Amino acid sequence: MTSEELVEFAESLARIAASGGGPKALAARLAQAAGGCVLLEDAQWGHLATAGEGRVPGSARAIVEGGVPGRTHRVAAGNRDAGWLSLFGDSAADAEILLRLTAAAIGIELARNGAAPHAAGNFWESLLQHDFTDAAAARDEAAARGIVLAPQYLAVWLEGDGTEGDRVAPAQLRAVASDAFRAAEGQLGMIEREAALLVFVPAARAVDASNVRTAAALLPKSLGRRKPPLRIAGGVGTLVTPLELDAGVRTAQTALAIARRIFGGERVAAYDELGAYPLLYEGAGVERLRAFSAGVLAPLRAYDEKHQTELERTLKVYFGVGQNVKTAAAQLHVHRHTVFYRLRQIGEISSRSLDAPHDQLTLRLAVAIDELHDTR
Amino acid sequence: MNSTTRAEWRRPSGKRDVLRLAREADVRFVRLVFADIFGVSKNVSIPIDELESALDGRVTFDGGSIDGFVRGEELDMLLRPDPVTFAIYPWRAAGDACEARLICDIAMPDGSPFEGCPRTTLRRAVESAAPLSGQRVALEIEFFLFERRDGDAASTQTSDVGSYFDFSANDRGEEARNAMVAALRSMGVPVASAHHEHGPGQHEIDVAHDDPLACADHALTLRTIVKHVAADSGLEATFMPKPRADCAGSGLHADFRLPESSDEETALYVVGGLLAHAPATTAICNPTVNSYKRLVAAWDAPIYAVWSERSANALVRVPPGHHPPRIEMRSPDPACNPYLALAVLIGAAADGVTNRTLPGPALVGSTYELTERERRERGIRTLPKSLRQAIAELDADPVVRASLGDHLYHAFRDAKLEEYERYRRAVHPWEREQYLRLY
Repeated sequence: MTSEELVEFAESLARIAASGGGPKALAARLAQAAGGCVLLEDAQWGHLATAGEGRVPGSARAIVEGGVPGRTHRVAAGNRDAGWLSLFGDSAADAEILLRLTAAAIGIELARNGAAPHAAGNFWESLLQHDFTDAAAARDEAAARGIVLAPQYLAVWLEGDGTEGDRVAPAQLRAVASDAFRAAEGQLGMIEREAALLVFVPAARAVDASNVRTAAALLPKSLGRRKPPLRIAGGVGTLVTPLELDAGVRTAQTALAIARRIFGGERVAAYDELGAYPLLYEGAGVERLRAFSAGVLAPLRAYDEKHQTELERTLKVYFGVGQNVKTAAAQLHVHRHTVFYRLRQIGEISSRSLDAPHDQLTLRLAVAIDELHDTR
Repeated sequence: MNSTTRAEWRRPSGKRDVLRLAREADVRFVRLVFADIFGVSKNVSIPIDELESALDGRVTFDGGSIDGFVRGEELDMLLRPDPVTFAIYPWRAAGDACEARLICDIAMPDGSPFEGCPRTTLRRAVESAAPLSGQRVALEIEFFLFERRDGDAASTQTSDVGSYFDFSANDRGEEARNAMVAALRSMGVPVASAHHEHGPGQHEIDVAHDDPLACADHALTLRTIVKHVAADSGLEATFMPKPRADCAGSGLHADFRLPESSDEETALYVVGGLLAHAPATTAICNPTVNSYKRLVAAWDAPIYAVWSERSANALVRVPPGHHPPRIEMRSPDPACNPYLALAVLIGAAADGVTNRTLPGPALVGSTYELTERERRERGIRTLPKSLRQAIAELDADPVVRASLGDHLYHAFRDAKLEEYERYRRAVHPWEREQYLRLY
């Protein structure tokens, strides 16, 4: 780069900072100029932002602490270490200079906003405490701290399992969460709660929420394979808007509590996948019972309506006769093979296995509530 | 026909084994077979006394005359036969001479591997996919058998009116298919089954699980044998993806059996990788303008990058209850270069495992019924609708490009863009039928 181009780059960083673009926008400018991808982490190696195209490792910690080759620069906010800015797959000749200039700009930005990661942490605390009057106010405050708020989040509550001595510390949980949810489109929010870590994972679409639940559910097994193994448990809350994060946290805690009682430890359970258990654990009025039943039976009803089938009726008859296929077939005036076929369809369409006791409980309860309260 | 059965056949282990087998079978000629970038089988025939020299990799050919190899410095390239591919053709050459073949890798004049060799590319992709080491692949290859008509090279006439799994005793196609299976097995191709397919004159031969390189070799062999045996039976075999508009096209489903150590988590990441890179791998797996006439919402052809356990028209199907998991990729068609198709699919799958790419929830039901909103919420992408779109997706996917390597990517891309441009400029019969009198 010529000196003129370097000056233009520095000016562009200043313009971004002046317009309130925040650290993520500054990182994006670096990715654009250097032709690679950028990772911004806080001083504890918690993920803050990524920008650019290409593969970004979960953390640049190995570069700084393990001597792995790579391009990483410290971000200083005043006299405090605010984090690390790393560049991967760059093609610009002066990538190192661009990286240093951007790290300096991000440092200034973070210092101006009351300094770095714990300030971001405070923002999530503020959201939980309902400090914002509306979504616009929350968005503005987030932008000022370099956070781009997503429309919806899943709260994930993670904590170490095992004895006091070998329990996973929240700092370790941060690295685990950054890695597990790195595919999330947007920035993760993290708050430590004594021995636990609370993670807010952006999930704009249904598929994002599904992938977050799956990634969380896979965590105990993959961490258990590490040497030495890490044992964790957790809960995933319901999908909520930023202003409803506290409700998301409550459901995440409930999911964890239920999972511990029903399945034991080392499990990260999603509230939405626990079927009837939240209802039984929390207690419920008639309206909530009706909503639960209608929600469980909805896929079967939609299928029946579209294809003129009798899946809901078959399920009710099957339960009504004590799960005897032969008797159910007689009542439905079909061959028993047809009942088997329909039961398999019911399992697929409702995403619940009639062979699994927990799923069976959910379906039985939904049918019973419908019979009592007519949820159509 | 040679009567060797599969039970009697075993893969030769090296040069001495090949020389012994050739001597015992009184082989007179050996075809040194290789694939060009389009997967078309090419060969150089040598008399038996040159076999030892050929096995030492000393046979050269003019690389400049092969599509996709065209660069001045690639002339006089070396053929490197792979001894394990030695097989005797089940027919006799002129003068009742016994003929065999060896499938070759291609090397530069200095002996270094040629970047544009599809077989070497697959070998490299398999080696790079460390997390999937030990995986095996099976192929379901569909094709049509049409009547051979003098003077009509593009006849799609067939007297066969069979459909799925039909048993038509008087069908010449069925007799020919049985002869094909016998010929393939005699050459060591592990045929698992064969049956009539949906369309009239359409058949399928299923190749059992084998390592990916052997599997691609089997596909190359199968295309040669099927065409040869069909011609002997007075039929024309075609692997064109969609020869007739009124019935199903021909697919080449690739069924991956993951390594023994794999679990459901690995399977999820493999599916995630296959779906994430599906738009780009389509260019390689569906490499002709005609391929995209098969990828329409009919006859269970996949049109969306979605996975399912049972849906017949999902792109990726993961049949439940298998250990190690099995993953079926349903979009490729038999016009693809099997080496390149498997290379990019394995590259995509390995990328999914490395980056722990999740595929979203499995779909229940038909993909054709998904609304636009459902697709958006589920993050389901549409497969390219034309070769041009597919190449644009390939251009934008560094993972798939890396699986191909620079030489193959550019050679393939340039050739296919040129093919697409020729197609775009051609005036097709449908256009004349629609517009000639109307305007």
